[in-house]
Amino acid sequence: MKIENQIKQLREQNGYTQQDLAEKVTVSRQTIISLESGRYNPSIILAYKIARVFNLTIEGVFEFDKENRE
Amino acid sequence: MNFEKHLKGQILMAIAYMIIGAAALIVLVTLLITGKLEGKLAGIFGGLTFGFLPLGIGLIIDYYRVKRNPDKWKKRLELNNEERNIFLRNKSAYEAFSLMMFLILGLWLVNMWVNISTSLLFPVLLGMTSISYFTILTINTKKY
Repeated sequence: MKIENQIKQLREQNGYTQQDLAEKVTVSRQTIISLESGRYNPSIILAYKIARVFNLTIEGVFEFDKENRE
Repeated sequence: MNFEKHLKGQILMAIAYMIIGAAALIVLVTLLITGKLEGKLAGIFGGLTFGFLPLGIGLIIDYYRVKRNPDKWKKRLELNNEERNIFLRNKSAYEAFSLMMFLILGLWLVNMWVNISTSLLFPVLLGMTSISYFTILTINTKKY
């Protein structure tokens, strides 16, 4: 199941580097790269931490792939 | 994970390994002096000595390196327990285990025609387990 996300766009809008975001949510930069490219689906805890960095809800950052949602 | 607890665990493990290694070395030297050192005993106590003693010494050296630069190591420990790394390790271990089941099945079938000695089979299986795990881990690290 694929989850689409807006992490890259939100990160760039907020002027964060991948390293900045990684440090804010205590993961490695590689994890942020994998999340942005959609290769890795985060746990609910990590999704929540990322959403909080951008002052959004989880749904504001992550979205189920439309095909899978239906 | 508590960093101090991790360090304490490491030093205790290092001491335990060194005690086993040193005890095996004493037995090995005693057998050598008394002229009772046979092939099997030499293999057992030699293996214990040269396996555990360097491992214990290595862990002690590592312990003092960690003590000198704790922040760097705390970060490394945190990253080691990061969710993606845990996911990669678990997935790789599961896949390597599945692969090993097929390998064991294959070797069992081969063993029906060609008799494979257990003293050769176990080290080969152990080696193949490590190789398959690290290969799959490398592939999964690139994939995810």
